[in-house]
Amino acid sequence: MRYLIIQLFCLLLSYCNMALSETNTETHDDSIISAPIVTKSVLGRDFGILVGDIISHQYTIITPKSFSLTSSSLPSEGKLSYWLVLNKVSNSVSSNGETNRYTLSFDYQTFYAPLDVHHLVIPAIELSFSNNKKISTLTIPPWSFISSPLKELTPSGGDTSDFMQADITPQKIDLASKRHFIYLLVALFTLLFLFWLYLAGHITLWSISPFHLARHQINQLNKQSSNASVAAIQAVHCAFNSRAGHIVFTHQLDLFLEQQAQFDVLSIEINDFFQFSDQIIFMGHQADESLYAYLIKLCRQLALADKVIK
Amino acid sequence: MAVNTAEYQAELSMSTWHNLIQQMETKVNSVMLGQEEIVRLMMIATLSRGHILLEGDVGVGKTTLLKTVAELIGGSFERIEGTVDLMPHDLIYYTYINKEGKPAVDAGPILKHGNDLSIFFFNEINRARPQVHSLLLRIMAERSVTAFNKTHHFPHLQVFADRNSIEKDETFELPAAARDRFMMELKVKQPESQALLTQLMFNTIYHDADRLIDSVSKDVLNFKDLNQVAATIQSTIDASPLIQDYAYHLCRALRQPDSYGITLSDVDMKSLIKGGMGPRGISYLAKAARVNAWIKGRTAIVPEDFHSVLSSCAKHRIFLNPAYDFNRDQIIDELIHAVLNTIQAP
Repeated sequence: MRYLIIQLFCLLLSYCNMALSETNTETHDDSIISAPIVTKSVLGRDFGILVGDIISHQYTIITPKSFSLTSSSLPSEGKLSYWLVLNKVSNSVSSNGETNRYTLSFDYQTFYAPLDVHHLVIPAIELSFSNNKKISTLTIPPWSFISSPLKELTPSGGDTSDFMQADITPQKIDLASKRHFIYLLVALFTLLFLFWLYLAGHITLWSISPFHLARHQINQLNKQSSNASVAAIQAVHCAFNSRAGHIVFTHQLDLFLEQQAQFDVLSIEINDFFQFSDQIIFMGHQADESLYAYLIKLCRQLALADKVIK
Repeated sequence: MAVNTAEYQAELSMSTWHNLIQQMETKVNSVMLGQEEIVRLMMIATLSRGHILLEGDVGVGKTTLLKTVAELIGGSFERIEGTVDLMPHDLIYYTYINKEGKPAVDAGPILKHGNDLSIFFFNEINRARPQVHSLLLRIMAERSVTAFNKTHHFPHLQVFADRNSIEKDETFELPAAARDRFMMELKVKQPESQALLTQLMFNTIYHDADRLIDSVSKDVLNFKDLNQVAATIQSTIDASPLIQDYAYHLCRALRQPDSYGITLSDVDMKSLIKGGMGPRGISYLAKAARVNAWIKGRTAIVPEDFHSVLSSCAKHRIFLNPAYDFNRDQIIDELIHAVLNTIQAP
């Protein structure tokens, strides 16, 4: 019985509090005021407020006709403290005979995440009104409220094992019309990537022997100029250098043949070429007309030998 | 017809010299085991009329090698030991009390043999003071010295010097100018082959160096003809414009490796080189390359000739930023190797 009485008393108290907070409070006669006063405030409930809730306050202020609100005295939108943000401030005014009626709205949002029920306060606001002769201030009092923690709730009674349901499977977007285009793009990029690998020399399996390229160059030189014997010999040297990864000199041929065993079968031809090259390039011997045919044949043999190892 | 006969005689003579050089090389190699490369380079320096500095560990045969080559070249041979109290005048004259009991002055090792001085062997050169190095600079560069109010010339002189690379106490580092006078600086290392080392250990022939040197026939070469032979080699071996271009880039890359994109690990290539081969050095390099080509029986220089002599002609002429001097030998070896592998022959 005693518990019942206490519960009824608590209910009555909370009802009174809500009534005070949300009921319009018209306390003054508009025609007789000499300074700004708050005639009405709508503040909402001051308990059970959770993290992330919007708290909307609205005040109606009556001022003498000659007074007007100084807008700079209104609080700025934005962060007021580490847990409180003023999202929106709005202000409207209407005239009624000898008075002005201001309606001010403040939308707060709380980010306080209490672990237990906690008492918080929204700070006071000091408003300024002025006429030509004097300035009058009006303080909107601080507003305290009770913030509640967020706690996991489970339904009581019945089977509670599956109250946490899986998310609904999202509906797939039909891409059938774009599928072929995507396949084409992927194929194209794959080909480009393989081509890049080939150019960078990472795919030796498909790479062309440098001696093939040298043979091609010699053919070109043969067509373009009849006096390009040194350039033709240099093309073959470049192919040797390219295959070895460093410059190959006559006296280093043994090392080259050791490292590039695929050319072992052509060791005599290679030695002959290097001797021949020294004679043409450094000893001033003249090459005859058979030079190009000789070099092309040598390159063909070397390219074939190069292929064997792969 | 007379011209043709003269040319034939000259050719015959050069062919004889070619054989003599090969004989000499074989004889030296029979005394010095496992030093074929050093012996070849000494032949090249001799035929280029360049001076040689040998460096190596104690007891690897530097002195034996130099004495053997000197004996085979023939002519008058003088030897002096570098010591901390050696003074320049010790090379020029010496004073003594004669038979009559009166003080007398006589010619020192440099002047004693006059024009016939063929080899001057300066043992442990880095133990001598800079004053002595200074006199030696003149003798090496000009092959002459002024003494007793007269300039003495030594047209056939070749200076051999050695120093050991282990001891640094009470020694005087050769100045850059003195090192530059040496055509080649050769590092003598002991052979690595077990067979050769075993022979040096147990074959009694190699136990007595003097007897070993005496066993080889002397005066294989006629030292008075060496200048003429050297000049003939230089004038007959051709250097094509393409090989000249190659040699130019080799020398330039040794001075400015960063311009050729040469990099060495943990080395700032822009600040690495403080000094490199000057005109004397690069002319020595070309001379040596020509002689190498001649010894190999070629009529013109090929890149191999530069490869054979570059290190011995260039290494002691490259001066590094002091920050890299602690690891000088390794860095220069790597640099030369990188240059040879970077500069493309035409």
